[in-house]
Amino acid sequence: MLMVFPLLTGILAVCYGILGRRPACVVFWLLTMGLCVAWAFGNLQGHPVPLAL
Amino acid sequence: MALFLESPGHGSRQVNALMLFLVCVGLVFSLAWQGMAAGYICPLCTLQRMALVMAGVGLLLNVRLGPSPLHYAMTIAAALAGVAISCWLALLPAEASDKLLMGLRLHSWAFVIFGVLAAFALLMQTLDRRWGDNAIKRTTSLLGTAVMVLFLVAALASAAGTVMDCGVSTCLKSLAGTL
Repeated sequence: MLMVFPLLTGILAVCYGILGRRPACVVFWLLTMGLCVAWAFGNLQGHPVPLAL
Repeated sequence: MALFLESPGHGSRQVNALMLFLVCVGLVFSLAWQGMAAGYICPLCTLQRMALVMAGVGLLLNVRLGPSPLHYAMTIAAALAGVAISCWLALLPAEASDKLLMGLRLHSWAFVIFGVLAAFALLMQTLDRRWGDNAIKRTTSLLGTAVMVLFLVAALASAAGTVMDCGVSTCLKSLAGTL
């Protein structure tokens, strides 16, 4: 998955936050968190993790 | 404490604006620090910066709409994610080329900063209970607006830095070297 997607949704969350539109801001915030987690799980598998987590 | 009792919401918004400003400073500093190490691409550092931006969004909503448990929860969740990422990076064996800042690596500083952010949001969520939770827009002071715009610029700079490093890719070209 591309790293650019969570960057874009994160910027949108900031923009909606500044505009004071909380529902849209929270939706994009959740989307950003989800995309970051998806990126991490999708791309960091198979690499050594400290303490063998 | 009196700051929150005499003027519910107002003092809290000022404190949140100050924290948001510190988040902006942290974002710009981490970007500059990574920029100084030319050619050093660190995908997990990008995730760290994203966690900082996400934590900042909760603070920004507090400044814009007034304090709310939801906004503090957003900050706490993002700060805990940042703690996890920076803990992972801090546990990696140090390299000789690692630059130190006051005796600590940047990842260790990130761990401290995320911990402080989580503690701040938890404390404020406990103290800051006299403000109604609603999404009505309120007038923001000039200083508050300036901090919010500064945060947007810092988030844009962070995104631009990542795109310059990685382009439109999964940003994994040097992951093996990082981990």
